[in-house]
Amino acid sequence: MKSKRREERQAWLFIAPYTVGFGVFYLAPALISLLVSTTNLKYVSKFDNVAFVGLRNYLEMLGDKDFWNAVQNSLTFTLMYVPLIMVIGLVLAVLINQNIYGRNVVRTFFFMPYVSNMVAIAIVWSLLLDPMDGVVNKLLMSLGMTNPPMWLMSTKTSLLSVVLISVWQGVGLQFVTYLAALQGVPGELKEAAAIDGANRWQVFTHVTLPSIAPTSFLVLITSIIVSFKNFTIIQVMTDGGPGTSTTILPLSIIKAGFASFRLGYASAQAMFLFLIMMTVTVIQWRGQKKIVY
Amino acid sequence: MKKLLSNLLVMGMVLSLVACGSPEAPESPGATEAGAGQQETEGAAKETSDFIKIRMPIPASSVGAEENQILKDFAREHGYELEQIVLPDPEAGQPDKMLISLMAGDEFDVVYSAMSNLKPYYDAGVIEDLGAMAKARGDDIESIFGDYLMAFNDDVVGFPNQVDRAITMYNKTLLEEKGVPLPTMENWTWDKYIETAKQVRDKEADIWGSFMPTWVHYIYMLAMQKEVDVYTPEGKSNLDDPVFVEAMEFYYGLGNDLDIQPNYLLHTSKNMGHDGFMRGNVGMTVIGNWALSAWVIDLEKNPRDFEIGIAPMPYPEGYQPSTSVVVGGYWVPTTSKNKEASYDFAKLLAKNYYKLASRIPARIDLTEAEKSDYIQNVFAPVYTANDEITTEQIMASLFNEKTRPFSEKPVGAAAAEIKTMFANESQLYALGEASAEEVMARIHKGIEEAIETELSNR
Amino acid sequence: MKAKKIPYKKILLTAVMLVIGIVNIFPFIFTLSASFKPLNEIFAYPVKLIPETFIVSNYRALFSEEFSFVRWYMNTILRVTLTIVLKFGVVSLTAYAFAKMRFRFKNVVFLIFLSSLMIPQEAMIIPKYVIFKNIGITNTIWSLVLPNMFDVFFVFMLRQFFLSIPRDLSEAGIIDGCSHLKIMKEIVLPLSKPALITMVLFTFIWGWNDYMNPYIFITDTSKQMLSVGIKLFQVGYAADYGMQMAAAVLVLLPVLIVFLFAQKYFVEGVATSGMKG
Repeated sequence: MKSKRREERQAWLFIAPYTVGFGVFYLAPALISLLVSTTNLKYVSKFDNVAFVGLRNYLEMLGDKDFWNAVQNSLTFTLMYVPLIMVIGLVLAVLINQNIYGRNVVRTFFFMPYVSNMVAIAIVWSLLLDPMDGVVNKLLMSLGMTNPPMWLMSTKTSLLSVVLISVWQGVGLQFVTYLAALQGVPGELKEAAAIDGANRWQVFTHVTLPSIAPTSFLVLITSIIVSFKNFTIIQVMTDGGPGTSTTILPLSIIKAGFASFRLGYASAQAMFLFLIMMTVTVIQWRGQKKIVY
Repeated sequence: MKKLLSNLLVMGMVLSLVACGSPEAPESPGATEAGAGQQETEGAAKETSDFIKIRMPIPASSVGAEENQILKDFAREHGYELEQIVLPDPEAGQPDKMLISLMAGDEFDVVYSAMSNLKPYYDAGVIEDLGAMAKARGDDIESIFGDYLMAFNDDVVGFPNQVDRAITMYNKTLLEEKGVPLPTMENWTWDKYIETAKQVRDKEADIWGSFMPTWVHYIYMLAMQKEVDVYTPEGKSNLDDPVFVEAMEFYYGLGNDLDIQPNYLLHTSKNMGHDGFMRGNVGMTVIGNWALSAWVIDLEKNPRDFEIGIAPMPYPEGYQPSTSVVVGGYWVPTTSKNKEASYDFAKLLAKNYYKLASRIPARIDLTEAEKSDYIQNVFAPVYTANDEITTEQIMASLFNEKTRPFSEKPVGAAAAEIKTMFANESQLYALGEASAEEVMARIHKGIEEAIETELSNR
Repeated sequence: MKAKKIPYKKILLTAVMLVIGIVNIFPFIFTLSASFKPLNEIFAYPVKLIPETFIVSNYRALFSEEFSFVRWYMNTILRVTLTIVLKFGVVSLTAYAFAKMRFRFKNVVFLIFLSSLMIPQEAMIIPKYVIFKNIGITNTIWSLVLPNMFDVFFVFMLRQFFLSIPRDLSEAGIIDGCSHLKIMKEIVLPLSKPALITMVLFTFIWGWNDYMNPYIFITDTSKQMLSVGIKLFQVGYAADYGMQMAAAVLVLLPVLIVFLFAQKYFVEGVATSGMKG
């Protein structure tokens, strides 16, 4: 009994520094944001004009075309990004998991974009994707394509372009995660299936895929969260344009907050994004319990 | 109610700190950083104990400009120690670091802004009311700066340091090579500008007739020249006037249809910036006279193998010649710890800047004699020193009283939204994805809503 | 004597993967090569990876007096080092408590911590600035180090890893009369090397690449970080691609070098510790 109380006291001591820091750097700003989302606050330096507006920001948001455009862009982004990064990550992992020379070197090549600074690398991508003189389009034209895409410079392809760049940057992590999972699949299972007359594809779909299902689920969830949250690539590549074709939710928040200086409205949008992410996370917690064997 | 809310907000922010302040204390304000900072100031203090320190931010893009040193020297002569703090220029869509700093209470003493960028700072209440200070001191600033004073609703917020006027700048060498008549000082219309540019344009040789940056104000420039304003007299959006569609078609047409200057697609994908003219393969550009002092005088910093001439800003046929004007100047943030000294320094610098940087004065107290003495003996010689630009050109382009000045950018309600709306939506027309009518209708609607929101939130 | 069979399949597969891999890092190769080229060659097609005119003036310009490139390097190194050292202590203590100790409201507290992962940071810039200002850490390296110390993500990751350490091991410690601090130091942490190394490496990378925080919270150029510093080259005059490429190389290089040396740990860490959010 005594030791239990001691443990309790000790535990609180252990988490005390963290709790303090968390309170200052995460909880306090978050609560302030929540409070601000119910006001018409524009400038923190000028309180005389501030008033509580209740849910007006939220109501305005629901009727705001630009906001729904941002939601739609975010969803489209996610729907393209998540399958792409999962499939490419898995395919790369399967290929490298074969018997090849210099596996480490190849593995490095795929992981490299993940560790690099996107602000620095963005400029290269805009050079490579230049509609007229970019390497990518010159290559496409020499392969016989007469009307290569305009990539970042057209509303039709801009979102796809930033998705592709994001996948290029992020796939390294997912690929390594898959690789680890694949190496954990028991060899005997595969052998047993092969003896039973299954071909390689059947072994893959019936043995390998089910065994790595928990990993796939985690990759799915993290990719969804990343796709909703990350915006650096888009901010540096297109800043949401052309038009508003690549303005995803986080960018819309930044614009409301810092181009129009409507902090209250920006905070309301942020709370909406928070809700989406919480929903995804709750699904993860529920799902984890079911899928994990 | 308002008071309660503001107290709550402040309390919320502060409470979180009080609660956590003490455990943070041992490790916070960093030993290394603070130590280094102290040493610096101590060292400086010994040397400059009599000087009044002025903290002034400058944009990263101006780093290395000769002017920074000139201002420092000027400050020193008058007993001030000017500390220039380099801030990154905010890019489109990025939070304005300067404004956030000031709102949170970071200390600056004197800040330079163009009038057209000042509105958010004024709305945020971070600008000291210089008018009130002047009144308290019995300082008659009206008689020095007159209408040039930077003011919103009769609140004087800044001392103007110069007036910037748009001009035509041309590559004399290239035009003469092509055998094209040079721009004229009289009747220099857009039609003639386009005609000249067409004759210069040489696709094979990668020579452009014209080059203008992709800045937003070019999009509605023609409408302003046709004497139509962005706002209606009631302060609503006037952008449903068809002349705005015409203005946008005109500006982008220079690249997209006439092919006399790089079109929007080329410009953006090649990241051509705003100084393409200086590459030497461009006939003409229309730009503020700040470019003259930045590009023309110092041949060492901006080496070139061609001669430059200037002419007035072109105007639409059938209208009074006009030129877009930007007033810039100094203001004192409310966070300044030494407002009286900052007021003095801002005023002193504003009064003298034009001489230091060879710019157009924003003062009404100069006598005709003083003015013409400045222009003839100080201003003109600087720009004519390389034997290219003539005094006649300078008089006609920069000091022509018959030219109607108009403000380059709107400074009224929802000015920030006008800038973003134009920047975002006009891309669609520039890239050929939507008609000019559609785009302008969308901008008009967006601005109307923005103005309404701004008014309802007051 | 049986002739050694040539593993055609293995060679072919290796070749294919190598080609895909090289295409994948083409942007890096392009950057490196362009940083040594004059402007007109950067746009040349077909791309020549070895510059025809080899120049180093792009690099020389970066180290001119006008920019404090070296200073930014030092600042960034100091920042990541401080973060790593301080974070290590705070985060592992917390994660240990959540994984191995019993106390009331444990799950509630953990959930509150975790939910902060989901809040879009960009909406909190202003509240954060005001708070930082009040503690007096704006425009100091601490405005970047302190918030990062309390990273929720790694509390979560380490907790998961600590949980996977068999209870018997730590329980044995308790029976022996060890304090929790001792168990953590002598049993749990040594067993968690892969996870800890992952934390260190990722903290390094994220800190090195962070753009928004230094942009907002640091004012003085001399205190600025590298990632914002290089953006200072991109304003003002028309795009000087060569110089920007050189700047990009200088930013990327340290991270890539660290990664190349530590890549074994990266991959192992990700694999064993479940860098999965």
